[in-house]
Amino acid sequence: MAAISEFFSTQHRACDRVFEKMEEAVSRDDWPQAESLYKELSRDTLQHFSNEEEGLFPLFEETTGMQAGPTQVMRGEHVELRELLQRIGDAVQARDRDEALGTAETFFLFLQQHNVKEEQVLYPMADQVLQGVLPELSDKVPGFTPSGE
Amino acid sequence: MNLGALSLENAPGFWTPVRFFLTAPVFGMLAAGLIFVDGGQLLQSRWLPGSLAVAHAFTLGYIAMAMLGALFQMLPVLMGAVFPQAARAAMIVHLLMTLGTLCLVFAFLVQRPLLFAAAVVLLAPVLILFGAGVLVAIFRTGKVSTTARAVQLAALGLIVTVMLGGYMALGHAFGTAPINNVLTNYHAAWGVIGWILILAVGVSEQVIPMFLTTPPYPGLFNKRLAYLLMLLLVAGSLLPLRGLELAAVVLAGCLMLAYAVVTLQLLGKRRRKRFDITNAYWQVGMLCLVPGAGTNVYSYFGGAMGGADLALLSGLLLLVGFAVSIINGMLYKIVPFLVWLNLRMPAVMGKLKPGTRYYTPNIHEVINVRPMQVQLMFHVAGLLLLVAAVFFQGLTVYAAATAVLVSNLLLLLNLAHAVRLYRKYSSRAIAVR
Repeated sequence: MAAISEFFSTQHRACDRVFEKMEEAVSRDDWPQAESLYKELSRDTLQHFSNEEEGLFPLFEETTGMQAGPTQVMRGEHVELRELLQRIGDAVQARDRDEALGTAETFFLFLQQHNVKEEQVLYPMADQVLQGVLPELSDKVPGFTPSGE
Repeated sequence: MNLGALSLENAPGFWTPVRFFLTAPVFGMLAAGLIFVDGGQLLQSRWLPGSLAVAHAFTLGYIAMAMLGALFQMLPVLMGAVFPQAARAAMIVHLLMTLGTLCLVFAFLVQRPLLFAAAVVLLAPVLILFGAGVLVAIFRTGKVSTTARAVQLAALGLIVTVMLGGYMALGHAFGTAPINNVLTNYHAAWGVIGWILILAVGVSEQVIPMFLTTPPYPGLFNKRLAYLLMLLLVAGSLLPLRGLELAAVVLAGCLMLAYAVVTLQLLGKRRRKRFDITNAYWQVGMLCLVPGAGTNVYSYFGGAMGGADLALLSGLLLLVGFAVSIINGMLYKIVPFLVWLNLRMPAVMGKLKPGTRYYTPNIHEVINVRPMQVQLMFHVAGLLLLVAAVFFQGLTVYAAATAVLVSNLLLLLNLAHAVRLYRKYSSRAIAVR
């Protein structure tokens, strides 16, 4: 797998794992654990979004000249995902199990269809068109290395 | 790669797939009603007019109905193929499917040539055109995923199934051809394996790991499975060698078994351990696929079990046990999500003034878990009773028909609840929560 696909897809999987653990904690009514996992989920997800919105997307837009293309769609979905994430956080804070689990399911389904589009369309395209500017990307995205290691 | 297809704006509207989804359980209820009215007779032989009527209420009215609806939704979103005029096409396809299936079901019941002719006119062109459209749309996208390739093969399966079925129905209409057992078997094999199973293989590759958080299917498993099944179908149908047909039946049975076992293993490795209705339905479906494939091979070699029609039992397990179960499960994943997604569309598309927020029910509120579980219980009871009725007939048949009827009624009510919520919230002015 090429560097961009590899790095960003791995972040998706990592966030999924934290999400699954948090959901599990909520179902067990283990609220302290749920809160701490929610914080981790929220931090990692928002970091991933900003990696894309401030690193990958602008570079992609600049290189391809597509301002209103796929990146615009992804930004729009991030807005909704942030909203859902916030709603999960509120529910966990309020220890409202049904609302937390129902919103978590909603977040998860919407997130999965979002991730599929990024992983199957956007990242492979980015890997093709951004080959020459990978060092620039690593300046903006913490942890990203052009070699994909 | 079609970038336009990335956008949810290109997803078809709410009603495009949902009209199909709401119709499926109605045909399930019709099938149950027919079993009830025809009583004991029906489950004794697959060749009885009533059995054929029930079979087509399920295959066309329920299974194909839901699968076409899902394809209208899936094609643009997941495969990068934009369906031209999706909303209008869906409306027409749905209307023709509904009318055509009704004609065919009643044609079998009352054996009227005119009804058979009407069924062919209403169903064959639209289904063949739909299949051809899917084939071409996916060819145009170039390099495609396993799912897309399987959908393409399934579209071919659909076309062959409809052509064989249409040919036989015309025979009924014009009295030119008596019921032909060989053609019927090909028609059934292409329908069950070429259309339903290959589509399931393709869809599950993407859907099961993604929504049910399982590990992925091993390597090229689904791709090879889809190609091999198609190869067996083509070889078994075109080459008039008894030995080859025999081998094809056995091999296809083994492939079905392998698919069921691998899928059950994956489902056993779900990372999210919470009860998931879709997962339960996939498990039921796979547990039926195993004996369904087994009895098919067994009956092909003339096996017998207490005087029961084993081919009918196999059909029951494969259609109502496997196909209807996984579709039912998928409807519970798709419909609540579509309700939610369409209600959130203004927000997702960035059409709101900054800072505006409005309340949308979460997915568990769109259809509650409890009523879905109750419906699952009736579905499983209906299945077990149907299988029992093949052997015992008598009162078991009525119990089976009642359970299937209740199961489909509950499914309809659960889906209708989701649709009511959609109506309520989409017509309501945006309220800040």
